[in-house]
Amino acid sequence: MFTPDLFMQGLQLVFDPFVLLVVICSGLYGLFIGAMPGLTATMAVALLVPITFYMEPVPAIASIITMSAMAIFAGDLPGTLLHIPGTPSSAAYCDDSYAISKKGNASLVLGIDLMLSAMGGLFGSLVLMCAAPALAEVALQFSSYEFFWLAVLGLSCAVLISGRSVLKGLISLLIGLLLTCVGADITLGFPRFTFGSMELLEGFSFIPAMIGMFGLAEVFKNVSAKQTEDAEMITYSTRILKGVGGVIRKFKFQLLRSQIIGTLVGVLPGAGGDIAAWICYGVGKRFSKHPEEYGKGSVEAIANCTTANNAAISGAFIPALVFGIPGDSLTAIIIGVLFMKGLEPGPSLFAQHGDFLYAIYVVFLLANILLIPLGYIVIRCATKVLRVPPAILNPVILGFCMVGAYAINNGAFDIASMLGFGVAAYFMIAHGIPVAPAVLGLVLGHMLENTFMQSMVKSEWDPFSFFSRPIAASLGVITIFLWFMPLIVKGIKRMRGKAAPAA
Amino acid sequence: MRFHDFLLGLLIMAASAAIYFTALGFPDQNDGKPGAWLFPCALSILFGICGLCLAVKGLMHFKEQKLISLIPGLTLPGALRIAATVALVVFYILASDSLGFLITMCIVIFLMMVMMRNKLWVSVVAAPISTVAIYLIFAKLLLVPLPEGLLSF
Amino acid sequence: MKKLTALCAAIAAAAAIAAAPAYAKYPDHAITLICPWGAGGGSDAQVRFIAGLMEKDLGQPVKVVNKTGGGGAVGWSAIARSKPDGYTMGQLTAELAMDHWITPAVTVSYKDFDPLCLMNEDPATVTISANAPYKTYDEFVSYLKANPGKVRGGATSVGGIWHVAMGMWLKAIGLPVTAITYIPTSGSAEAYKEMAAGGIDSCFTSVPESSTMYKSGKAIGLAVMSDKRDPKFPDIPTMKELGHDIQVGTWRGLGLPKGVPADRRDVLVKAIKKAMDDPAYKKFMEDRGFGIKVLEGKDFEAYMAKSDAELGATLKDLGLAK
Repeated sequence: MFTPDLFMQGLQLVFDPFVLLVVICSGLYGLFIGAMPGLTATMAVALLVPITFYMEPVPAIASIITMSAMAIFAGDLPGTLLHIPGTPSSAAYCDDSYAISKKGNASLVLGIDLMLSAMGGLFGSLVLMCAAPALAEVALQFSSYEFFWLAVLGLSCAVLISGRSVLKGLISLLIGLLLTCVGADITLGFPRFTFGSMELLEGFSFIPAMIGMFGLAEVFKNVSAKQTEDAEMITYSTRILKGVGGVIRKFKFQLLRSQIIGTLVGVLPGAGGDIAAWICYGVGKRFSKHPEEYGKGSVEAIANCTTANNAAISGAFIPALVFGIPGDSLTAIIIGVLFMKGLEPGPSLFAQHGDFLYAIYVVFLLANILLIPLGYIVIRCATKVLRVPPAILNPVILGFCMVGAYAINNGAFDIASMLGFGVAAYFMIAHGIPVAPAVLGLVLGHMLENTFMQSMVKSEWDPFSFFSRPIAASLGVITIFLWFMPLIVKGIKRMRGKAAPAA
Repeated sequence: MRFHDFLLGLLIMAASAAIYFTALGFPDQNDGKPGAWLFPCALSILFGICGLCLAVKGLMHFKEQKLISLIPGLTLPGALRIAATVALVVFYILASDSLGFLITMCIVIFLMMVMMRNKLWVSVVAAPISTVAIYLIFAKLLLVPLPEGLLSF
Repeated sequence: MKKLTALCAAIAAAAAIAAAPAYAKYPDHAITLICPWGAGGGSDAQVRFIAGLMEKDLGQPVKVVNKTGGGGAVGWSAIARSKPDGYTMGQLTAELAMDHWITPAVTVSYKDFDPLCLMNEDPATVTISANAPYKTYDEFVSYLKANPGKVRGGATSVGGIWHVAMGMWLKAIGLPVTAITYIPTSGSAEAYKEMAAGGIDSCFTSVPESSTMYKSGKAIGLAVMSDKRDPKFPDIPTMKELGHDIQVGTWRGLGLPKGVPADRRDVLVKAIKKAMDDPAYKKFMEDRGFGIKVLEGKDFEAYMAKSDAELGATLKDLGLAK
């Protein structure tokens, strides 16, 4: 698979002063976008496209790749410091990051985010280099049945992320899922629960919901706190990388597992960094030695998820490059740009434009290595935010929340929906109902319903069709096994307990 | 305001019933197979069951909570400040189109800074600076078309 | 009193002088172009490109604003409601001729706009999976006749443009709309993902959306629903050649809210046409595989009226129009 010759040609294409300049600029731009709540990597790339049109293919693609890798890392910054995930990929472990920050160790979290994001991205890039065609073939075997099981597997994590009361976790998950029922349904286009409003036809946008449930709810909490305590002041040290090495050594096998899961989820067209992070969170907790820490500030959880969502980025390029099938809206734009450059993704790219392909690989490696110094600078700047007293910071955060929600559709409706989600989240928290499962429901709700209905229409309502294909059947069995594992483990323990006194 | 788990369970059951009966009115697919109603109905039934469990659990531990209590740690001024924050967001939604981003956001941030007991001169200085900063970042650097209204640059 | 009148007159005169050059020199500030689709898609790419070229001609910025939601309806309502002073225009696409038939909440239609210019038309195709037991157009049609409902088709959500194209095609070849079981997907990307995984046997998307599937050999194009063959795939016959004169596809153009003064409209039409003559624009459209089709003013309006009636009738056949 790996051709050193082409690799050298790729290196030559990338190590050109102009390309390097473009990579650094777009890296900084990506870091900035990712750190702004409400602005997604997709939107940032779309704005870049008119500029890239005037560039050569290598710098054009390089700028997009660098930007997306940086943006996913930078999404962790506001999540850790302000409890507002910058991108949906950071939502899964936002609670943990913020909890540790409040305990005074934001620098450790950010250090882990930085180093493990880069490691995850590098791992994904290596997989992309070595196994792209083979993995793409597997990914293309995923039809609605397989995606249905993937959604169910993701939703099972809700039980794991619900904290003290599983019942309240389920209630929260169902709130999230019910909210995704709003809007035109997939089988008929029938407007459900829209109350005659045009804005609701496509349902609630996820990003305003996320900003409301995390960010605005946090603002409510801060404004209502007694002025004297200033409990939300976060302290930090400037030694960001202290202790990170220890964390990596301690969890090395888990991290490898998360990177593999992250890359594989990324390869599947339509599932990206956000779903990868949720699944790694759930899997990490299930097999963790300290599952009770998850949700309350678990370093392990952060490390696992932050590395997985970066690994997923490289994964998403695999079906896009090999078959020209976009995995998400970001790779769809990249396919469009490749087209404009006369480089059609697909087998011909591999056969005829090997040097360009290797240039893409080199850019992936370079972007993830560059992430470390650039990210370090940005962390140093970002922590300055915390020196601003809360009485000034909170009004400004409110402003960012409103503008971030607005930017999704450029309409005031999304500010209103953010407000609604924020108020709802505040009351949920007051009643001991965790917010994270509802966010998970919002992420996976459409995928669950759409793939279920598609599968049913395809198979003429044969429920066994979900087990009729090899990959679907294995995913289904794994999911059901994970559900009943606690029961099985309990059963074995009880049997041993009974057996012991008899012996 | 915080409800007892028993009351909360009842509320969830009521909500699920409302969703269920609304969703029953959604159409079938054209060939008569289950259509738009299937998911909302199924989810609302699950939601109702969860509500029932919560209500029963609440009854079993009835004496541990008050029927309706205040949110722990929330004082009256605190509640008023939350209400004021909500009101400011509503004000922004209603006014930003006609007044424009710069004026409306400046008012919102200023009032909230005053509410959070900053010194008046601090608010007077910090509100316009932060508004312009947000404007430059989003409107100029990231090309988000914020409403211009009366004032723009 | 006299003095006051004189003063008033002077002010009015001054105001008139101040205002006159502003009228003579349209445009004198930035023009907003509302795109009802999200940043990054094909529709957005087209308007952003044309906006960049129009700026050069008009000497004023043309700012693209993505106002999305409601299947395009949120953006179109915003255009239709905007002040008819020539400083707001918007993109009109095929969904404008469809949404109002399907959803009662959507009232906006092509009648709410003054057309400027049609810019692009991408015809639908008849595309089958390379793994299907049938390989040619005739084999596919006879298979459909022999096995009603066995073939699974997809491309968009229910009531999307390619679903309608499928309905029109089936009607033209004399089959009921139930001859193909339609699997709703979120868009052509998801449909081709399903096709590659074996979940969908046939697709009706446009040529640019299908071309990577053709090139990677995972799908076969059987026909183009147009009267002209696609220059990039000259081997695929048109429906007209196959004996059924159906032309359906997605289209994109620009329009104004009703009531913009005619002289300003002419300025814009001239700028658009000049932009479309630019070689950079032609190269962009060709590279992305978008088909160029230009119709001005009244012709564009007639085109939209025809599209609206045809799509509405097919949506009724599919049991989707209210």
